[in-house]
Amino acid sequence: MLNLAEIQALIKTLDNSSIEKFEYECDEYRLSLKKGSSTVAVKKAQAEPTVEEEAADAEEKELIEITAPMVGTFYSATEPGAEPFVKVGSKIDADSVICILEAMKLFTEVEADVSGEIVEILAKDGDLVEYGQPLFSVKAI
Amino acid sequence: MSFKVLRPGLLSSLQDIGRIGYQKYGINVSGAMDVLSLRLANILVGNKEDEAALEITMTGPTLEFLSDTLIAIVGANLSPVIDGVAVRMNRPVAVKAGAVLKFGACQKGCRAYLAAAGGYDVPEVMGSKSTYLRGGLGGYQGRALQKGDIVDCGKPSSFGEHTLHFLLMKGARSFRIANWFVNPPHMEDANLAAPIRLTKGMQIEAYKDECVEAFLQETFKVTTSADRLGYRMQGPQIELKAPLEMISEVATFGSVQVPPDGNPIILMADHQSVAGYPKIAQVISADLARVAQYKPGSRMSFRLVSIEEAEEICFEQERYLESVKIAVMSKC
Amino acid sequence: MQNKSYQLLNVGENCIFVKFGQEISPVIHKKVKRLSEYLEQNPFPGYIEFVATYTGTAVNYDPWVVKKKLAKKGETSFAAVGRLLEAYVQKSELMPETAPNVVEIPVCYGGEYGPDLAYVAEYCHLTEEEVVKIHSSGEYLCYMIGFCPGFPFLGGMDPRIATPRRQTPRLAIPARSIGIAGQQTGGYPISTPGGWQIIGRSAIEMFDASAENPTLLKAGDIVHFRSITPEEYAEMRGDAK
Repeated sequence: MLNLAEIQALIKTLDNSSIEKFEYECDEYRLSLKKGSSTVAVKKAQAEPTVEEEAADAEEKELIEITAPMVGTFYSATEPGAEPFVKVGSKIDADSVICILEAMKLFTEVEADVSGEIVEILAKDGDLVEYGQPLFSVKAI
Repeated sequence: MSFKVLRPGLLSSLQDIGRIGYQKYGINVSGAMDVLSLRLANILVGNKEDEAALEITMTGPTLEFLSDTLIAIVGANLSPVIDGVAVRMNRPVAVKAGAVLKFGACQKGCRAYLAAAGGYDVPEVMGSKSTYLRGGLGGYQGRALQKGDIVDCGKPSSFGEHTLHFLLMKGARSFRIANWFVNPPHMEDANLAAPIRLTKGMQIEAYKDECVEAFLQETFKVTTSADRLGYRMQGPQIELKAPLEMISEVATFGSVQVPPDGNPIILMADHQSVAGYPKIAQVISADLARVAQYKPGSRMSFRLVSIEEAEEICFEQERYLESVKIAVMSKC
Repeated sequence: MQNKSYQLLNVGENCIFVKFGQEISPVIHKKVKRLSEYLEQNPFPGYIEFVATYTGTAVNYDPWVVKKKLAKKGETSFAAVGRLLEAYVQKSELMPETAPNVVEIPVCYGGEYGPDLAYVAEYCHLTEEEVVKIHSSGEYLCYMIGFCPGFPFLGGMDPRIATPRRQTPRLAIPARSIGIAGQQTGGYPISTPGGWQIIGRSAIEMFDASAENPTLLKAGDIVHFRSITPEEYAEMRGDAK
């Protein structure tokens, strides 16, 4: 297994080159580096690719729904005209504020409570949503 | 709970809703310039609405918290920052002992109100904690805050205590904000910039018709002589039909009087109980909060409404406050 | 809301001015004083406070409280308060005459306490003693308190000692200074800038924030000034300056 210093050296080399993508596979693991990507993927080498690939695919298809924790009016941004908290494709984690629900003059920031990537926004500004109503579709990554 | 003043800011003084009942002794009412922001800030930390808050003017102070405190900042956006991290306004904020609150650029408005759960522990003078700056009465030793002052807070309500502990338990390096907030209607851009509504003043008939028209149609600049006593405005000259021998008569917060030089003055929180100039109009009580958010150099326009309309707008604001209070209390 | 003897005028939606007349007169003042007293004794729901002036009594109220607790259904708050004040004016007229509070103020005239006494004397073609005698034998009516804490608007000064204000106001007049400005006389309970001709200083406080009655004088009081010597002044002041 490459150590951290070695991986950092590899990344630096890649940065300074014109190579876009670098993949290295050995018995123990497969290292994948892609320029412009914010992640470095290190996956254990697949011994039985077919079965595990299917499992991975199935996992990717499963979407999580974030539902409204209360009744209220849905707002995608902190105030009219401001940038929305999230868009389709935004990466979120448990603490990310994803929308605002307003009830009785109080505006509550709704946190995601899950990590992942926004796939779909299911409510629009001004919608009155019910408790439990799906607001976002999130894919775990 | 308490904090220490490291830098005082331009003008930071304790104000509540005013010193009521002593005008007959010539004692000004004083109190917050933007009472709506004051009341909201108090509601957010579980205080009584009329409790004192720190009125912060344009350039804010630097305060070091000496103990864990629940605060709320409502009103002008003066870019509050705690230990380098921006603090969101209009919501309860749990601040840890040792944290330092600073203010930066004045992004919107003119005056912000810093309420602390438990209020401020200063003596009441004639039933009020408001500072009458010119008279050296009330508030923190009768004056604006200075470097080195240590301001103590009172005992928080159970809502205040509970919210403070709840937020701190969620984990905080220097502070933790609640995940809910209010949206003061008078601070929304469209509302803030709308014409200031007024009712007819007692001596409006004494002014030239074309001057009254100009007063209601043109914009006025808030001059640099705009302070807690009154806002001197600059615009079209407002002239009387004939010289008027005025003897001192009643003046209220919001009276728009015009001295012989023709430039209107809007009397504000530190107004004297009697004044000698004729009054062309009265700012409606609900719009005083907006006037208090205009800075010197900004432009203001006016619109006349009936007394009935003025009442309705006042009631709307009171209903808003009542509904916020109910909503906040239900968070307990 | 018109009536032969008074008018009800809106001062915004949270104040009604009950106007009894147009000029400074003891007759108008009596009506102002009676209504003010009646209000104090009979506060209505939403009543905040009164302000007495030369020509009338201003009544400050909270229109929201009035709407909830005083106004009839469909009635505006200002109509409700107006209706009530009409009744109050009538009832206050029936109040028994109360003897006015008479206040005597001991004043050390001239010298370091009255730097403008010489000027007033010269302007009025009198000696300083004559000015003091005239000023201290007058009976003055306190029409109202305003402008600054405890500042009395006193009427009834002898025109022989009327002197215009100073050309250049002083930046800080010592507290308790007694002065003349035109036809008016009065005193500065606290130190403020001002342009009055200062002829003496009161030996007693005119304003004390911590007292139950914070001001020496109230609207309606009758005021006399009594001349005292610098020694008497020093004794009365004791350690205080």
